[in-house]
Amino acid sequence: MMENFTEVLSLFLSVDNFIAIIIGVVIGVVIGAIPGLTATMAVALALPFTFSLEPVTAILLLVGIYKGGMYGGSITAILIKTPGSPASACTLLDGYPMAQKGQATKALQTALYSSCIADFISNLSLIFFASYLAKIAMNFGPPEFFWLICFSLTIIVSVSGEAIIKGLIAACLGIIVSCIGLDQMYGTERMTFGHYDLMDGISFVPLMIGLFAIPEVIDFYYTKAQPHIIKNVDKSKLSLQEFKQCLKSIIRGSFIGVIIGSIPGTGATASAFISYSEAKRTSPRRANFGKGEPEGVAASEAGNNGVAGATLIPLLSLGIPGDIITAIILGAFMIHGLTPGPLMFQQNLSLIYAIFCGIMLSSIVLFIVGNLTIKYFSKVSDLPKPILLPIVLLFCVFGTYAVNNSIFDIGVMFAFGIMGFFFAKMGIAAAPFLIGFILGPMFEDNLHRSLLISKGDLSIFVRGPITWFFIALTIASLIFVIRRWHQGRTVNAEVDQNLE
Amino acid sequence: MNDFDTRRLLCPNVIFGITLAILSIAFIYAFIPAFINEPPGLKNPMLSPRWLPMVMGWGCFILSMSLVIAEFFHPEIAEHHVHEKSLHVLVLCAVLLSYVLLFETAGAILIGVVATVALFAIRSVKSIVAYILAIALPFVVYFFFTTLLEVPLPTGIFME
Repeated sequence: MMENFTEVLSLFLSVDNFIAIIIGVVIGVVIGAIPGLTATMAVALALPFTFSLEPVTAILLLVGIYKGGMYGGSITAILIKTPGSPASACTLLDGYPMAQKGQATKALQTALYSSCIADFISNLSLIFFASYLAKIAMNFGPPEFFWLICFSLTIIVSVSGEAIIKGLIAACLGIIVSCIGLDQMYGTERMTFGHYDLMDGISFVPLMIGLFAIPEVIDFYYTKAQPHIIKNVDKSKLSLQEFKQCLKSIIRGSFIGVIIGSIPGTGATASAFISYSEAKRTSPRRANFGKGEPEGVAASEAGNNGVAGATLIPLLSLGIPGDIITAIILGAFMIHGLTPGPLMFQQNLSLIYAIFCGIMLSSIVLFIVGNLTIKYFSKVSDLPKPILLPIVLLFCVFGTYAVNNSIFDIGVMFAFGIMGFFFAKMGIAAAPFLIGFILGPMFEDNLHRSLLISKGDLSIFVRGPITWFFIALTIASLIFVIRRWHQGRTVNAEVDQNLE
Repeated sequence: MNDFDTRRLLCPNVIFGITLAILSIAFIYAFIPAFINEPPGLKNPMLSPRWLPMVMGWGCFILSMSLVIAEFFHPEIAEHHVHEKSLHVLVLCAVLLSYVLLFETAGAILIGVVATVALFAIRSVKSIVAYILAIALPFVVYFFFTTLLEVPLPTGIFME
């Protein structure tokens, strides 16, 4: 025991590890904060640099970039309505309105604190409950995934605001757009028009930037110029009282993230939106959601970052990468002659615990780096729009082009930008479109796989307690939103009557 | 039909709903059969590549009709939008088009500088610092991508 402890310390307490974590987090935050560049891209770009490093140092560098990138994505979502990742698209629902109200610092602090807490909880879950959570994840087959996705789709209603029908239309359109490309099962072409660039489907980066950032630019040049009024910028920071109000949502969001993250292939987007939806459902300030409520930012970021540590659970305990980033990290392990899985816990226990120590440290480094950078990042929101928006456009174009080195992606970004602008003018929320686009392929894939396993027998969808659990959650969620919608309409009708 | 009904028929939600309903039907009956291939010998229709788009097409149709019907019972108050001079929109369109058409031929830096300066100019930005930024920033971003991240961007007329 003592021998192991000493070995863990000797592996972890190295200057190289500390430097790798710090550099990783800084690179992650910077790259995540650039529109178009994602944490995935940053981790992939950094992989070749890890070849010459020690295994622990290499993994910690990549983990640092991953964590920094996840937080960095929320910075642009809050400040310029350009989410760095699909998961941080949820953060902009309340983060951007806060920045518009002059509360950019407060929004960034809320995002940072909730990210760090969620990250910490996620890391603890990784260390203490990895084997238990891995067992649950192992019971997830295609039918269980199918119902999890169905439950996730119900959040469309809660992010649609008042216009539920329009939100559902947007989600349907998002799912239709997600069908473009080669069919996952048969490889037949769907709506590609024989165009090579469409074979792989629409990339999410140009779609996401187009949907959220470009409409702001178009709207600015489309609407009549307002005289430049210097608004009373609220420089206040997140108060302890506000933080306490958010804490419940942060803890809940963290656990949602841990559970979803430990299931391979689900991803942070569903987690962020479920966490946001749950916070909106239970918060006493639910009416403020979507208008700049710190709890909305906290819930989204907690759901998003709660996934970070947990995605390593199936990777380390089963050798299954949960998403692209963990697949790259798996690659890094293998490059260094290590194969994650049950055997690794027997053969390289000291190394795993050294990595755990580094992962815990990365949360603290993220907190420090994030706090140091907030005051500089928040200055972006003070820039006048005539200067800020052309620069945002420049970053969007460069970043989008860099994803696939394709001019086609820039065209896609502008096309979705025009669509997003039209959505905004029609009062249609863009978030349901994005949710439909991301969850649509998962829905179809798990439906198909379930049907193939059961040879077309639909009873596979009610095969066990997990499927029933998610069916119950889906139905309860639908009943709840319909009730809330009905109550809202009744209240509105009463207000209208009183006004008359 | 009185004025009230005519106004409701011409409101954006109704126009949007009817247009989307027509497009949904066109999508289901013309677009899907023409542009989504179905593999032969398919046993379960739910496994067809056409199934999900078809369901979503019908979803759009039903929801768009619901939107039209809902408008008659609970009309939304139309917002009055104030539009900018068409020149600003035209310049923006030109900038977006030039990013798509000239980004590779003219190069990322040149098109970045021209687009940013043009957008500053039409919004009457007078600060010299802003224009220096407009010229310097594309260079900085370009070198950040190409040198630090090793992500190639088109050089265009600045080809070596």
